[in-house]
Amino acid sequence: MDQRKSFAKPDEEAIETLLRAFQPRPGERFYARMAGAPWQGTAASAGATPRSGRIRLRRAGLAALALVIVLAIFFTLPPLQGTAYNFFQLFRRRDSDTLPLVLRTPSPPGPDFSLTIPEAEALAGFPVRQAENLPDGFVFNAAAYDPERQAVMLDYTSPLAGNFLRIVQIKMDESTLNVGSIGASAPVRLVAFQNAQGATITGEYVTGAWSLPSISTALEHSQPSLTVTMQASWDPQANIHMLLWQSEGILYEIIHADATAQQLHPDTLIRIAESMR
Amino acid sequence: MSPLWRNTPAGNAPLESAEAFSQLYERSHLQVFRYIYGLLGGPRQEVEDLTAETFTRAWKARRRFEGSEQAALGWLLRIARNLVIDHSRRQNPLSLPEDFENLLVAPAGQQPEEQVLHREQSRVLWKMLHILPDRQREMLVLRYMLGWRVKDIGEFLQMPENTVSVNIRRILSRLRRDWPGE
Repeated sequence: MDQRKSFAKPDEEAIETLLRAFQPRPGERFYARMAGAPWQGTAASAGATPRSGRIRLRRAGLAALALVIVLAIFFTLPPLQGTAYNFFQLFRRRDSDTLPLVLRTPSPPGPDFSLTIPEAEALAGFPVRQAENLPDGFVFNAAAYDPERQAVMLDYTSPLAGNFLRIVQIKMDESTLNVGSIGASAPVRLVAFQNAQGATITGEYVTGAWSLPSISTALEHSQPSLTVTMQASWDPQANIHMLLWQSEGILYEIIHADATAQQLHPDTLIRIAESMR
Repeated sequence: MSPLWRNTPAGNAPLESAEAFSQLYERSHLQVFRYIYGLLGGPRQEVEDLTAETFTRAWKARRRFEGSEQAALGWLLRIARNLVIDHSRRQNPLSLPEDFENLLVAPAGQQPEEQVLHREQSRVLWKMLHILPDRQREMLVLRYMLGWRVKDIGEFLQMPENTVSVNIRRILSRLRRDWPGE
């Protein structure tokens, strides 16, 4: 190795890269210790009755499941056998406004949002772009990596119930066909913007989401282990919108839910997209 | 203002239940651990102990916390910072953690020679980081190890965003200037 190089002064950008690479994680000793923490026990340890604890946990589980379903449909949908799709450039338009889904309880684990951006980059093998301009109240939570689809997912949290924001970045190959499923009636709007690298991008914008209105009733009365097939319906009134585009071999998808509906406008997502660097 | 640390009431004691606190722990323990590691510099076992102590103290005080659930992260980091300050008064001068290389995430696609260079430079930088004034080190830890935006750092440290941005540029410039070996 060139000794002069090893002691060369890195420039400020290189120092930033080095700093970002400091990503320590606790060891097994820590997790073993924390497994016995008082909040890791049953609800009874917090003074709540076991019954109310169960109800809350069930509701939390249902909420998590519903979110998983929404997100699964948008960017981790496994190949569905026997279903027909028409392609609208990037979004995949189905041939109807319904989508059969096989649901199981307990639900399979969702994306594991425990990574930092550098960790996700290291796993993905491509640069992950982080949005600088976020809708009010959102802060970056963590990243997840799906090795099967070579997809990095960035999760942003909001204090407002019902709001979420996720940005997906996928290395484009055959598997990227499994993203952006939309209903047959969903209008796709083409939008143009300039990305942070100066390139003019044409993206596809859609408002709406697949919904499962009977999921709560069906699952609340279910046995602990159950498999059901349900029909999701495309809901054009859902307070969710998406922007999909590709650049330099990477497919980008922004999914934003705004419970107030005040920010459901292409400009909201374009501002996020333009700030990704 | 960012929701991370504003004290907007969000109901009585939103972290009172074990379920709510457990969710907070799951979402934030890595950030708390890295924040402490960045401020203290190691060793890992002491960082783990302080991280555990941060959550234990927060658990005991959870009924007094009235901010939104998101504001809890700022609250946790303030508890962690106080623990680090107390701990640092009793600590010996910094030496590199024994498992230093486990701190690092290697950037994708590096050649073996680049990996060696990366490790060498990381060792130098880790030492330099821990002779910086506390507030300067905290800014870099929040910005780069925790990935916070400048705006959020400013709100947490109660400093104007522009001041944080200028300070970070100056610290980086100083690190480059003071880098040993040339």
